Amino acid sequence: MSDNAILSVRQLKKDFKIGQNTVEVLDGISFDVRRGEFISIVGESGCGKSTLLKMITALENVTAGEILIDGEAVTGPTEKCTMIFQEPRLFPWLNVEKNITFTLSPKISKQEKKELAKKYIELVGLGGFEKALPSQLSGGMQQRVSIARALATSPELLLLDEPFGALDAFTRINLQDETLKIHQKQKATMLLVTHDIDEAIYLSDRIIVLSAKPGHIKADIKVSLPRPRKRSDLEFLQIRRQVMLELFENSSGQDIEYYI
Amino acid sequence: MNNTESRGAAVRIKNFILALILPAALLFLWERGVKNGSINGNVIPAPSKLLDTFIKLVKNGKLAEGLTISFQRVIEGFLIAAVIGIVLGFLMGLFASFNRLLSSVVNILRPIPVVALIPIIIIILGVGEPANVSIIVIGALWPILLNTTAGVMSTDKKLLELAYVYRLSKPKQYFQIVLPSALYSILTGLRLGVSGAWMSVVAAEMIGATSGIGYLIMFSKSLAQAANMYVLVLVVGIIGYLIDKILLILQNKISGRFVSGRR
Repeated sequence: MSDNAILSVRQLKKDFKIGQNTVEVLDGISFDVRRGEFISIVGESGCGKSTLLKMITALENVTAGEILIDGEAVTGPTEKCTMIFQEPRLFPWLNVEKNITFTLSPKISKQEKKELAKKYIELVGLGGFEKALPSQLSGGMQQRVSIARALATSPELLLLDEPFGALDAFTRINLQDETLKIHQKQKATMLLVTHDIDEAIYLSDRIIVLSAKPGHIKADIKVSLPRPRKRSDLEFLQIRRQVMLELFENSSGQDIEYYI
Repeated sequence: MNNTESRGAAVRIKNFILALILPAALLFLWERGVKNGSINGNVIPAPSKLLDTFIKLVKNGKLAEGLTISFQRVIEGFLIAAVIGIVLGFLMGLFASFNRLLSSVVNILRPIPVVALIPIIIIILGVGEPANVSIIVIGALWPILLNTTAGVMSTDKKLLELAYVYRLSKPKQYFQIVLPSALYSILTGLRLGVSGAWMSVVAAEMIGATSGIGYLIMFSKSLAQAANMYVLVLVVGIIGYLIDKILLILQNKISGRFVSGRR
């Protein structure tokens, strides 16, 4: 484990019992995430990437191996780490401001909570919508609220479970840019699970490619392109091809050309 | 008023008149039948007689007196049932083991008509207020209990997952996530519970009381005051209907912001 690792995953295994059968979901994966890094995990559906995030937040048990956050083994949810889910998961009866203050630590004073909410509502570009109910917001705006809610707890490690997957292309690209800005501004470590390869390359310092059945790390690809990145740059496309090759190892070259 | 609005009003008036034609015709035939002797007025008094009787019962205070006592019993029994039903229902919805512990007993007791329990309750508690109120509690309890349990169980699991990740305390999860999620169901249960309480109070008073509207119905029957009896039964029906309507409006008012927030 490197000293600078905020997250260390060590020989992590996960089995699911389905009826009589045991299905191996993750087969002993190991990786470190350094402080301040933006890491993406890509892989086809069923490779266990969402399960991995659930284990980091202690929503799922670990079958074998260990997870360390800031050097401490995960035994339950910790204040150092929080998650943004695929769906906004807002409380429909609370307005935007109250949705954000609702999940803040009870140790924080009421006044401080309000100020935090205001700050992060501004940060995600929702100033003026403090009193709106979730049902009055678009899907993209709802996801912005859930991002503000996560950031307001000032986590050192932020897990993102395909948070832009359900949004339209325009909103998605918009939110990717904002996430990047927030990452640079907040200095939080981000671990993104996605099946969108462009998204992974656009955002990440490193991409971990998971293969399925059982999930294991296929490749750990460093992305050292300067930001802001252009999705049409030659280097961008080269990395894209590299990730594709890792993901579709068994396919013929022609198939990959088709995807690119 | 524009064209569509006036047409809408015309349709409403037409529908209202249509709905009134059959009852009006029946009342007319009923009145005629009693007047010309083809219906026995001692068994089925004419509508005009019922109206006179109603006015008489209002004027001499008998109706108000009976209703006041019945209402007091309903409120008492309903409140007890609400507390028991909501607390047990909440626990049954939250904890699977508690649910299993109680559900067999609940499922056996629930289908028994309250009327069938009245003799047993009177044997145990004797004739009196404790027996009357107990009968009402049982009559109101089941819908409150079952709807509370169902409402609690219908809480979005994804919100509870979020609460876990964000380390919200258990009381906060129960009172600020589960309770608002279950609110509409609980209010439905309470509304059905009040209706149950109202039906039970009449049954209880008919069998084991010396006051209240149910007692007045039995008393009228024993004195062969057919008109009194009919009027009282109609009043029971109309009050039951009004209680349900008023509570439905209340339910939608209270839960308005919670329900409108749902997708």
